[in-house]
Amino acid sequence: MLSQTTTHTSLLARLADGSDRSAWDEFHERYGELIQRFARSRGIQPADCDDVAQNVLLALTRALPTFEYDPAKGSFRAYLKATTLRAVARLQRQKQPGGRLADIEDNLDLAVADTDAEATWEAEWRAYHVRHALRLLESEFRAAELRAFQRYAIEGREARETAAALQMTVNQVYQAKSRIMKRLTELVQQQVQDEG
Amino acid sequence: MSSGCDWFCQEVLLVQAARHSGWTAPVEPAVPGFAGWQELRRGGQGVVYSATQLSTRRRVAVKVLLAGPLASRDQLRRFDREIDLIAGFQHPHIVRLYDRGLTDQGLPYYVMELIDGVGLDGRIGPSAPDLRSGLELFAKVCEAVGYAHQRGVIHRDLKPGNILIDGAGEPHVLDFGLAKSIMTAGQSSSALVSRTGDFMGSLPWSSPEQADGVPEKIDARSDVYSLGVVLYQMLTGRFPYPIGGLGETIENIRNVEPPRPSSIGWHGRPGGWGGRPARQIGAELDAIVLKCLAKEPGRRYANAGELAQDIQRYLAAEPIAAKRDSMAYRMRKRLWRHRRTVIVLLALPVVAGLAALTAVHSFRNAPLPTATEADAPASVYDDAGRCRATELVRLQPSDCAATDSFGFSVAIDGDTAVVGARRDDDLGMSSGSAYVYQFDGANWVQRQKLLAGDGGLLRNFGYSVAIDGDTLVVGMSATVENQAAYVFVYDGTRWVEQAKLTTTDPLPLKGFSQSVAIRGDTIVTAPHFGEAGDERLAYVFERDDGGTPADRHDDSWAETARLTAPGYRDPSNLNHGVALTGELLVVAAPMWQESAGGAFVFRRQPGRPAQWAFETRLVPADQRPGDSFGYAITADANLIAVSAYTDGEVAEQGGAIYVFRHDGWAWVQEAKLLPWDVRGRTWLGFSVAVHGDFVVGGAPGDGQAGELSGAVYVFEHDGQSWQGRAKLTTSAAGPIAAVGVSVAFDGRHALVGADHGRVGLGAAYLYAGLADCDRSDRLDLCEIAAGEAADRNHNGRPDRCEPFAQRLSRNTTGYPDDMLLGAPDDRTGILGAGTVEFDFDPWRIIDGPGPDFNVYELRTGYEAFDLIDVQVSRDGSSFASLKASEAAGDPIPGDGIRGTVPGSRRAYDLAAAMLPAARFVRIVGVRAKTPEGGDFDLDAVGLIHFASPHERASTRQNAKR
Repeated sequence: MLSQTTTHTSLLARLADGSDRSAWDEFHERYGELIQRFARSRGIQPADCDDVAQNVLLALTRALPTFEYDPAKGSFRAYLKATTLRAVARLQRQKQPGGRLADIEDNLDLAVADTDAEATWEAEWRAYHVRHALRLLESEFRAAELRAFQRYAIEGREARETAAALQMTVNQVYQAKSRIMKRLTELVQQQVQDEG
Repeated sequence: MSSGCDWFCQEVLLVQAARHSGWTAPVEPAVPGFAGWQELRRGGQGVVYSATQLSTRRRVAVKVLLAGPLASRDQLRRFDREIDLIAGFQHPHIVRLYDRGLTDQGLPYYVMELIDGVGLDGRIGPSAPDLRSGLELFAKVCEAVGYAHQRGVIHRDLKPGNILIDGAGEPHVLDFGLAKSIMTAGQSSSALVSRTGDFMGSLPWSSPEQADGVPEKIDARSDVYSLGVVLYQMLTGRFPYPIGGLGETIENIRNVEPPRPSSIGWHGRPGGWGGRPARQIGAELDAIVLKCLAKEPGRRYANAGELAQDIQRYLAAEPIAAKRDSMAYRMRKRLWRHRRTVIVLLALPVVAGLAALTAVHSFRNAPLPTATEADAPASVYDDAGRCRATELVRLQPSDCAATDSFGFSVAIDGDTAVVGARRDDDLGMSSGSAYVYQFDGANWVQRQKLLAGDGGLLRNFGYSVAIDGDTLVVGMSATVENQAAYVFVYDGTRWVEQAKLTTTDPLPLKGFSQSVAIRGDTIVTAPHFGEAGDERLAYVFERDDGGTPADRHDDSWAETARLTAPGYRDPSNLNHGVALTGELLVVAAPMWQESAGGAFVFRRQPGRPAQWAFETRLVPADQRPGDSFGYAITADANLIAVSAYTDGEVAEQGGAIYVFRHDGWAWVQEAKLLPWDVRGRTWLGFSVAVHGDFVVGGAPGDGQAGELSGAVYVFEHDGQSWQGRAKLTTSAAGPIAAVGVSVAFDGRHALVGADHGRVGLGAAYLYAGLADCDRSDRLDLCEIAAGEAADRNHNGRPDRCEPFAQRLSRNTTGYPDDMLLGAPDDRTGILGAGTVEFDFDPWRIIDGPGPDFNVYELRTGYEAFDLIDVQVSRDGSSFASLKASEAAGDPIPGDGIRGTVPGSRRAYDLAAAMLPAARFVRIVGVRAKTPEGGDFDLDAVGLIHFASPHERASTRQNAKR
């Protein structure tokens, strides 16, 4: 648990330092998928999604040395979101034939306020945390329990059908679901609080 | 839940997010040849299953590692090597390793003996045997570890959980040396937590040097320490010092002297090994345990074998080797420790937490001792005979800032390489540049940095580059007006901007020169952004050489065609690739028809060289929307390769390259080339180059050395079908390197761009040896990488295939450091055509070396030959001719070179006048007479580098070291 609560904060510290390559890699791994998936769902070409992720990373290095990390303000999360939305919007404008640089900059703030993008971001951000937590749980629970959770809790199949398919008892399916759901809630809460 | 509770406390929202997350539960590993999987245990490193090995019908244990810890090629190779070493172990108390490999999901696994037993930790308790049998068992464990120590393998993660006790009560030590591969692996966040947990799981048994995170200090004595902790537990039921939080535990390991086991008695569950402790343990066992647990490795047993012997001596009631520390030593130690404590206490409030974390961090990430870093040639090839290889030369710009995207575009022709850096800021932000490198006979050196004459903000000059002979073209991106392609020509000393190509099109398309190609006197540009409904695919320019092909000064360029194709209308944007051969012009439109894509082939009209006729449209047999067929394109003679980098056949966005061949009648799809060794997104075909029988495909999405580390796949047509031959990576592999974002291949060298996106200093990597000179079905490059072929002059061609074979191995100049740097590759083909072998024997020293001169003998397979010209150079770059006579049969007069022996053998006296000043001698021309009486003129057949006295001295020094 120690590492869980410190990684994010120390990661930010190392990113702010600017010279720690492994911090880049770790940040990229943590948030790259989130940024890229968001970009994808905003209609950006896959090859360019990576550009978006890297633009966000770059913006962060510039900002972090002056970045007051204050979990109470939720500032990291807000900053990440604003930066990502802006990066995607910029690319979208650039890809439009006839787009001029000035227009692009003008439109950026509009884009940040774009409610569609807001909703997409919120969904992707939640999915990111759940995905991250579920991956951690893969080493805590047995594969059969995780499969039961997937079928019964996530895919919404019948408990009996799930039990039959996995050669478990219905009770075991219920147990797996409630145990994993409990840990998932704990982990996601911890992650979200940690992220600030 | 408190106010911190939010959407994640509502099950329905959590489930919604889970659905959207794309997460799926892990599936059983897919390993061919195994069945009947049953999960045994699960941990931060991986999962252990039991399974039936179908070939032997035996039950085995299979450990499948998590992907994160062994992400990079080096880590995997290290892991493989470790496994291979341990697989050779035969010891009754070491768990046998049978096999290793990668699962179908790309995860490393290894197969081992299945032991039906429980961990030693399960036996420290009520069911434990008495003290004597406990010590006998422990001695067996020490013997097993000692066996490994004798073979140079350190366990590094000894703990009760890694010692299995079978039904007969015999111990089996598990997971030998594997901790090293995993502990030192690069970090990844998801793995971080679990692995940190795993590390915590091993921390109580770690030695002080392990807790300090100094891996080079870890040796057999670290294992002795861990065994000491295990023994301590067996005797007392507790750890030698309190085990709590991370930082506290590390401090205790470093500083707390454990109390004597006999002084504390049994603290575990009732009835443990200690049983009736204090009395039974006694001073001798105390001494043995504490010797193991000495903070300084030098005071411990040298290895586990010595520990085993001492336990056995104790059991046989013989005098033991361990002695209690002397009083003086204990006093010194106490003082020293006291000093340490003061320092630690002072520092504690500020940095203690951080320091503890840092220690763990560096422990996990620290490099291996150098002794184990040596290359393992055996793992260069995979089971299919495909190899992995790294570059011959890395090109980096002399002045580049980190985010110039150096390597975003590349081109190569013969001795000239061009690398674009579109985000270079010399003339304003992202004004861009292109670097020219030239091979000077010894090295690739940066010759020039090209900028656009009218460059400026955001022009992204260098977005695309192309070269053919003495002319190169540089394109730019679509971000600004006044789109152009820049033509540079080589005037004999440098590259000068000769023309700026623009179209007379009244409504020019944007991104006019984002793709460029040149061949001979033709340049074609393919715009990236069209207007919806537009039919224009490409612009063609032709050179008018002013009637003097050799003189570039009076050349001019004119736009001669705007290509359209039947059925093609631009969907809104964009064309991506363009390729040009003498007769063919191919334009790719990956966004055409809902991103299904297509490629349009044009052919030069016979007798009307400036006219191009539409020939056909290429689409893949299994075309699907979204594949981006045509993202990159290349052509050579009757071959066209078109890539679809988001193709999903092997993996989502695995990518593919389609090869089309003209069979005399029509273009037919000959193959679909797919990446192997895939871990998900690969993007094979982000860039592509074809030459002869080779296709070279960039895959910047490849994640072998971290996300977007990238790689390049090499395929060869072996006369019947296309075969994957090699996967190229780089010596500096790492995440976001994006190796393969661009590729070029001229038959001799493959040049690969790695622009590092926007986060790192880009590079371009040069590979040679994409050939099979001895027809061994293995690429030269692979044979060199595997150590199967020597390449002393480092030109990417095995020495045995050098036209001037092996002169260095025979030490022909008398100086070991003199290097023959080789001859251009294709002379054999030109000359021989299968009838006359180009067969120079070595230069042979026949007199000297003297202070002033050396006489060399040059022999050829020809009846007779003459040197046409010899050039010398002091620095390997600017060569001066020695004005040799061109009159056949005449010995070359004077100037330091003198031919003496007529016929196929001739000796040359490289005399005093020349050698002291010239350390490079280039044989520029040889006129050979064939048995049939014909003459051949060969240019540039060889180069000798004479090492300077200084270089010789330093080489010898290095050799001594």
